[in-house]
Amino acid sequence: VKTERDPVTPDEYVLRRIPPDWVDESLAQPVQRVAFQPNQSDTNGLSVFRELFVTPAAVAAAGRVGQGYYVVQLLVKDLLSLKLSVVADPQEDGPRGHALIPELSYALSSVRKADSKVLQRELAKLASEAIVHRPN
Amino acid sequence: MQDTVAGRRYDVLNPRTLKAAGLITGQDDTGEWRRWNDHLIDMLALKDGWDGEEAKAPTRELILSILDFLNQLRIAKILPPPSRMVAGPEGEIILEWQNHQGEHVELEAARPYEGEWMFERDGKYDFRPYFWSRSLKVEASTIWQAYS
Repeated sequence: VKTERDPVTPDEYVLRRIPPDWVDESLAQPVQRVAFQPNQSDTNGLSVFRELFVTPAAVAAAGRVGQGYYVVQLLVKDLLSLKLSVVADPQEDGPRGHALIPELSYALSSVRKADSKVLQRELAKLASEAIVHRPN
Repeated sequence: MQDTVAGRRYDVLNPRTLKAAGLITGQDDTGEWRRWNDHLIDMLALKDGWDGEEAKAPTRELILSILDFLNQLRIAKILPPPSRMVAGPEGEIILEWQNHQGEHVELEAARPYEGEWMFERDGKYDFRPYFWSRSLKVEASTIWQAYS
């Protein structure tokens, strides 16, 4: 049985919480790439959650109270094929199964902006195929 | 202004090539332009942290410059109304055009009157800086209110 500290394996799925402003399900590709753009608090990488340890609903519920969120699901193998990695990063506060995509840290993305935008866009395309939770 | 993506040439200022790419439908799009105008005006009310995380709110100057840009697009029929327009985590504004063939064009503006185009086709990307000028001596919001 895996623990939260065990390495993330290619057959796992990770979840990402997205504010509703960045998803438009009327479009062919609903998820906008900025859903994967790091902000200043993403110093060590972009946050995701391992589905082994948490449900999409729990990830959504951990966002700001009173605001609904989308949650998308990504296969780790697909991230590896984009030359991204996923590193276990369990947190005491917040949902279980926290992990990071280090290649999408704020600092790296600021320096290599075009490369980062391409990765964000590719992740958005994958995520557009796997919306697993919608705002109530 | 011409850009080549995966061997296909886009002329950002030429509606004919964009229509051929399926990015212009020829339909009456007055309501769409108005919708994006209203959406931009709504962005004026955004505060830092509006996404529930750390997102910065776009500045008033940036929003007005995008209003000005949209006004110029609408009048010149350079591009159709965007498929989507969002504020990003750093206070930038992103205008996006996409079609069902997977072609994708995006303008990201982080500062008033300047931005970067991102062209995508068949998984290949191209980037181009872009600047636009203030169209009139009155504020863009005034122009748009007159139009609306």
